[in-house]
Amino acid sequence: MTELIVQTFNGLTLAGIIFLVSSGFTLIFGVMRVTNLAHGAVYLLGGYVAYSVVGDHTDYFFYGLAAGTAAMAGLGLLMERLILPWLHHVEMAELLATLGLIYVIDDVSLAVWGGNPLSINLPGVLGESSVLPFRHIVYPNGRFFILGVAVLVGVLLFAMLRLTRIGAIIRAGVDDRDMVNALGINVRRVFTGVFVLGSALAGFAGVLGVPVLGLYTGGDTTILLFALAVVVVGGLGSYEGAIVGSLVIGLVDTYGTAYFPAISYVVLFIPLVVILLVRPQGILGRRVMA
Amino acid sequence: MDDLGTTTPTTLDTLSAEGTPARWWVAPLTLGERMAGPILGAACLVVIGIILTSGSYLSTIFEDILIFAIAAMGVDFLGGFGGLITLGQAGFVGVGAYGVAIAEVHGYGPWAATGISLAAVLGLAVVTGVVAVRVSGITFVIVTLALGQIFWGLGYQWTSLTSGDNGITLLSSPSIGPWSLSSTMTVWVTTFVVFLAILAVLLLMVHSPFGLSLRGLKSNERRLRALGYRTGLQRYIGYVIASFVAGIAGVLYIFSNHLISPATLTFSQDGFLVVMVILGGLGTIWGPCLGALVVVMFEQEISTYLARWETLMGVVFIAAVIFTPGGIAGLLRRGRLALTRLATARRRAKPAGGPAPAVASATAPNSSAGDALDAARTRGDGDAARVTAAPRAPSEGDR
Repeated sequence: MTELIVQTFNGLTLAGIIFLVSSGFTLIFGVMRVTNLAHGAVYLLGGYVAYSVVGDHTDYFFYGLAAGTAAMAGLGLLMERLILPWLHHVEMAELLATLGLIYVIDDVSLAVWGGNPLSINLPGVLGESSVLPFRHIVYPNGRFFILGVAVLVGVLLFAMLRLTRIGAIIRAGVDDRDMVNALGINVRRVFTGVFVLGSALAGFAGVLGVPVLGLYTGGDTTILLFALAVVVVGGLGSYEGAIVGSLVIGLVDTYGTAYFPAISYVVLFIPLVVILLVRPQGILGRRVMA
Repeated sequence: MDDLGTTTPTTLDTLSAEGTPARWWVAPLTLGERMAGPILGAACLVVIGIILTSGSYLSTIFEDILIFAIAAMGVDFLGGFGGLITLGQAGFVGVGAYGVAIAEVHGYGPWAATGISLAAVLGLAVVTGVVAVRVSGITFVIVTLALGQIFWGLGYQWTSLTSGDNGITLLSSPSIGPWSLSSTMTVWVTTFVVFLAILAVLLLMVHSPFGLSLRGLKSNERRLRALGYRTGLQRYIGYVIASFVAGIAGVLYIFSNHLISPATLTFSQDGFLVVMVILGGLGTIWGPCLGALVVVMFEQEISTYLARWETLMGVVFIAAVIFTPGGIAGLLRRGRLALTRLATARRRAKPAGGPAPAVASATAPNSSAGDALDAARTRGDGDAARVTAAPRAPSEGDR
């Protein structure tokens, strides 16, 4: 039982990180119909940038967080302004170009930071563990912190999408892009903003993910797989779907790794199979892609 | 314009009869076109000669090219014709290779192991296909990517079966009498023969009624469904064929490399296969073979001079996606069309009459050249014209 509780906490932490990544992915897809396969590579690069800032000074963690997020926002801006305009909204071409971008980003990361696994520790109290009031479970504070931050960001994003004018424009863009354009809103700027926001979320998650998942070559593929599984389960382009999907995938992967270590990837596939057979558009997805 | 009205019947005549003498005036071009096959064949023979007489290093590289070309042709079959691009093809290459290695570890002979492996590939394709073809377009790419990663995860994590990161070494190679796959040369020849066979089969299949209906699926699925085609079943069959082809490539891979490890199933390998297809030319079957040549050259040759070859390859690939959506095959086609136009212009400059302007008016003024060529190629087969010509949007053809 104690084991199960600990694994549930682990699963929720993982879900938090996955949510930050996949919400960015799904926002970009929902508004722009761009499948950014390089999203995982952006996540990893964010972590690397933070590592360069933090190094051994764990106190600098928040500077690293800011740097990683800002750098990836900048990278998103570059991608959106320099590469995407060439592709004229052809969805498959955009997907393929971001596939090529993975090779470039990963290879440059390898050149700069090398192939050895790196890590960043959380500063001060966050780096310690505390004893939970029930069952005397010892659990690292940092994971609660990460979970809390993910929830906070999730709530803020939700509030932005639901309560602000910008959020209304974004939601309208998901529903009917042409109509938003016709209403006189500069869709071009909205696109850039969403792409930058999505990439910043990936970078942010990349930094927060380092203390939990580590920083290593190939880590981007794992996180990309998680994000893609989330959007298939939750519904491609749906923000609420990303929340539900992240919880499902985070918990399923954690339980799978804990209880069926040899086939945890297959366990991860189970929710995907169920969803595809029962509801191919995802739990909260709509049948708009045809 | 004045010649258009008078020669319209001739146009149809010249096009409906394949290779009529009416096209004699494009002699240099048709000659080039006709000779392309023999010239390529001769080049292949020269290359084979060089490889067989040289050391085994070159033959290993060419084996890799052929094996990846086989898997990439599978991707092209499903992606270029069915419109379903898979990012999980390396997973099935891995299943094919692991199947042989694992069966041999469990005491089966090499032939039995090959059979078991191909059966396993077919079984997994049949099962996963049910799930994968529930979706299409972007979601299909995502689902197959996830699927490929799960095969990778199995290879990596299921250590009792796959030895994990270390991989499994091949125990023995099959042989019939003196023809044993343990010698480098026989492996090379066998790979080449299998490659040619699969190339031929896929090309035939693409031009079969099934292949043409696959194309229709890519162009306009709804219309095809309205015509009474069971599009889900078509996608499913296409998926199983593509996966099985990858499995064959996997079997050849283990007999050629003698080692299979999760490194062969990584996402970057899945991506490489798609890069090969796009670089070579989507929807051509033979284009991906050129793509495989380019990518393997990057991996094996350019990497010795340039440590950051992956960056260069990524940039080249992105540039190809942006500027030449048709890949190398598209470039060749564009070049040929430019030549045709040039010849036409020269021909028009001369005052001579005859059937020449008729052919010219059939091809040259059409700005969406690819479609004209495609239509001309498939004409003669009534079914083809019906399925492909009708729903195709001009810009969709090359994607």
